[in-house]
Amino acid sequence: MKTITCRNLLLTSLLLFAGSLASAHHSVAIYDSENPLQLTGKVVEWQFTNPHVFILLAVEDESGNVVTWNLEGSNTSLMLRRGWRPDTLLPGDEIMVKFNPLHSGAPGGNFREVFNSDGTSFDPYSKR
Amino acid sequence: MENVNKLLLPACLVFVTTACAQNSAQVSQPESMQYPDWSGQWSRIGSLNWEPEGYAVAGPPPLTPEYQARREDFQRQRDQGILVGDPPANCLPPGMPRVMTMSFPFEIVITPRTSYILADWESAVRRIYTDGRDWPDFMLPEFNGYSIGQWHDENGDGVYDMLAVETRAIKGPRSFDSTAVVAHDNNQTVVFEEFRRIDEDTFEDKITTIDDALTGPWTVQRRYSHTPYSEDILWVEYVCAEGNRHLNLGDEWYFINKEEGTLEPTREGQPRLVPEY
Repeated sequence: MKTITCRNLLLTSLLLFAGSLASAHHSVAIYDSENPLQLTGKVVEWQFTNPHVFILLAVEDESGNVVTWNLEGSNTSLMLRRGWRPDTLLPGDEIMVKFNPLHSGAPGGNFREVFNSDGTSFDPYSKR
Repeated sequence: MENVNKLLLPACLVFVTTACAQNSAQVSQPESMQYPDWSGQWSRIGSLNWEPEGYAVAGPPPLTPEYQARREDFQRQRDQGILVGDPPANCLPPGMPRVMTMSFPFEIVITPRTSYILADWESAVRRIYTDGRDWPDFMLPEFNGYSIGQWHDENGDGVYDMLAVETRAIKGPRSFDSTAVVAHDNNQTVVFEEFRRIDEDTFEDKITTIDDALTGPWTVQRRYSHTPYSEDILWVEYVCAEGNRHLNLGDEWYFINKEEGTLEPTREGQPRLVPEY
């Protein structure tokens, strides 16, 4: 497989996609950017799709109930340029995610950053 | 439509005058002219606001009082989690002129009769006819409209260097960007463009939009940076329906929970919809 890391691509990526993983080409008004949340859980599914990628994250609440959160990210174009691939996250992977939750309180959100479960920075290239 | 009629005439005059002035600079017959090399990948420079510098710098969009009030109403609804005033949010194409913000990279393909703009965003294709045709009697409105272009040789060196384009028959609903700046409901938008490669690394689209939601013609200069052709250039398919989770039913917006088969609320107080059989 060809590695997509040439200088021009990097420059282009930086110009295009400066910002977080959640840079959006449409409004993200359904999410509450004033009150971000952070959750740790196990990946149920990593959906590498457009218009946006999704992490389905199983999170155990204080009562021991497991709730699956639908966490929307950026698009495949940006994610590819940042080193993410359709198999970067696998079911069972334990991760921490910072995200802007739905205004409604339903278990969904717009993820801004992904971390390893110990809080260290997640490097998508480490999975390739 | 009234505003369009008032504004179209002066804008057309500017367009025609510019085109005529530029025609005078042509030194060769069209058949001996060469076409420019605009190949490679072009990527947006600047904001996703319609004003490339962003409204915080450029000032507010020139909306009529009616559409300014509509924008403010949309913004109030958005604060509650209702995704109004941004048609691409549930997979409608951005259409013209918004597609030229180029959320993702694009390619230009030039042939003598037609030039194509191939955008990664929504895998959109713009066809710009340069075969000398006139406007057809009937044009089926489409989100990217119907575009007729004319090549010009501004510096008279025998190589075309500017493509002037007029686009009509643009379908709606459309917005200029994701900040609730929407085009008029009457879909009488007309867009004039001047494409130029202003230096080796930079391409420019000077875009003037006439629309009844605006107080007058709105001109912006969108610029794009160049990545020369190579095997490493990355083009990414974009099929919005593949993973879309946003659904608009009547006045309500929902977040689709595919796994549980439910429609989750996006605003406080909105009921969750669970199908009953």
